[in-house]
Amino acid sequence: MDFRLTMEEKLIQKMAHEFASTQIEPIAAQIDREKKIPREIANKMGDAGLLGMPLPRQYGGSDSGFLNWILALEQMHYPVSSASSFMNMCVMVGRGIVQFGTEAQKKQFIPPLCTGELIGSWAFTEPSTGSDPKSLVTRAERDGGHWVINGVKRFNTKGNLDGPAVVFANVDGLKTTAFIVDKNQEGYINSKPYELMGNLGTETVDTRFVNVRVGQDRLLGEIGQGFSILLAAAAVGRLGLSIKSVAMAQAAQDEGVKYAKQRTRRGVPIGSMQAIQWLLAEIAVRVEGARWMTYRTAALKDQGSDILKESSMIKLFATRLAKEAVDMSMQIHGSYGFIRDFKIERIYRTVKENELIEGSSEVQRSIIGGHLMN
Amino acid sequence: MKIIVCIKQVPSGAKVPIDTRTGALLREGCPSDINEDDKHALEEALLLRAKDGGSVTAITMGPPQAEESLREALAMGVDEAVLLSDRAFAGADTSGTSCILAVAIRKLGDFDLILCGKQTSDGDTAQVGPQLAEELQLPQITFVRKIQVVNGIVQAERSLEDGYEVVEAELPVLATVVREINTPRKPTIGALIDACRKGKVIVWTAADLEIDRNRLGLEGSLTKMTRAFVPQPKKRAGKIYKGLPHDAVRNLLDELEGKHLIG
Repeated sequence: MDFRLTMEEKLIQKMAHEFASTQIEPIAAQIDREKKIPREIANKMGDAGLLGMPLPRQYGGSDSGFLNWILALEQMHYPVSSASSFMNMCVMVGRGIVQFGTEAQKKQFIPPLCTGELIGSWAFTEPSTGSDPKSLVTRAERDGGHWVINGVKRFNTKGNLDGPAVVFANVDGLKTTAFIVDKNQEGYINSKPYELMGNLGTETVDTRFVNVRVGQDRLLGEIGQGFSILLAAAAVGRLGLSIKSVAMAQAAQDEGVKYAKQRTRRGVPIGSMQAIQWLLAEIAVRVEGARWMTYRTAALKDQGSDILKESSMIKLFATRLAKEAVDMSMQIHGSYGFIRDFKIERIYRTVKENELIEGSSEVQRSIIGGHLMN
Repeated sequence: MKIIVCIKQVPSGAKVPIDTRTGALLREGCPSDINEDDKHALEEALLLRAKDGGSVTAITMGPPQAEESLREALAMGVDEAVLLSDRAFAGADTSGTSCILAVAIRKLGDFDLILCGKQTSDGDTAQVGPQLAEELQLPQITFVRKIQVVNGIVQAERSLEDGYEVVEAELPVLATVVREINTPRKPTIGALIDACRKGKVIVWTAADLEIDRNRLGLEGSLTKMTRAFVPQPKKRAGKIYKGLPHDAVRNLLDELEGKHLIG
């Protein structure tokens, strides 16, 4: 067991750090303030090879493996967590197409996802279903050689940016099936983006599907295979969300240390006080614990594991530890942390989301419990 | 055209501990990077190769971890990378370093052009390039801000304090470049992965080089470090303008205007 990063891993980490420091950090506050991620940042990520890292080289990815992807994502999420959602979406959608798509679908969709020309999204959740595939209301019906999709999807992240959406609909009763839909096609109608509490700029919309017609060539996988596709992609999504939590917790730690050195009380920095040092110690332990468990889960994925249980475990663990770490850093900041000028305010507003999306903590507990009882 | 680029791995962090006994920087474990000026030398070599054809070899002397910088150079696009690494090389000053580099470059065979960065961010001497030219008995053009090769003649613009001069020399030549010469490319993730998984780094130790053992390392260096220290920041007097913010700012502005610092 060797916990040192290899030369390749270190170089990828360094490259991502440089990109994040020069391309994202300078506009981090602006993204939060204007609730808008500049679209061209996705193209820059594409040019640098960051978007499709673990996807196959033959379709425009880099065959990096998932540990390398996680190491890059950690750096990319550090300045502001929302900007690198482009990386998550590219890999979730791209990986789904790699694993379940036809050769024609791979050639058509994955290269433009990797360059940032197209932005993928993942439309599963519905207003009345949450994470339950059996309750999907969205339906797809045959019409000659086509499928006609009707329904409503909720929290369709990046659903308003051109590219392929993987849409889940029930066919012939309860056969959950995935389709690839162009987000600019007729009948694909978006709401305004939601006003979110944090992670601003991610642009999450509701989407109505009104007689959206797609050809047979847009069927992803087989009829009734939708839930398997969802599970595989969700595992990758949880991994990405876990490292995002780690990055946010690390940022909270760094902000806490910086503030504890600057802020003085009776002439000495508050960081010299035991009460503050204990808080910092608790933060640091959480960051390291969540980080290495995430790295291990990514390494398991690279070794061929489906990480269906492990990704739920790290998602449950990392998101909770990050929330606690951020809360402690906020406490160190005192009232200053409640001011928009301080980075910890932005992190605090955002970190809670990690426990709610990609399956809430309760869903993760159910998945883990289910695995243990099988 | 065969181009050789000398690069150095330097600490990239703000704080690098110093061995107070030898004066050497304790680089191990510190974050590091290719010296910035050397990145411009690499870029210029790659641009020249794109225009005139040929090959680019990156060479560095350093500890085993310097292989990282060579992998980055491979990711930028160089054809070949050579690491000169041996405990016997440790502690070499600029003359010792250029001596070892010269022996290794001779071993590589014929070449047309050697490019170096103007200076490194850690040693800051700007000596290795010129010393290497002397070791190899080559014409040298320093502080180059523009370079081209026409019919075996190097035409270069040298940056001067008050302008520039245009000089020519027949190949083979050694040139040191300044940062305004170009903007170095950034390797992509795919290129980094290829450089690490497929790229070849040749490693030569002292045993691989025909070199005078008396010129190796700290003992063979012409200069000796007598003392190394981190300078303490000077305390400045400063002045506090008290009172209401509006009054304090007014007083500050009045004083600056009075000293004709603002107008």
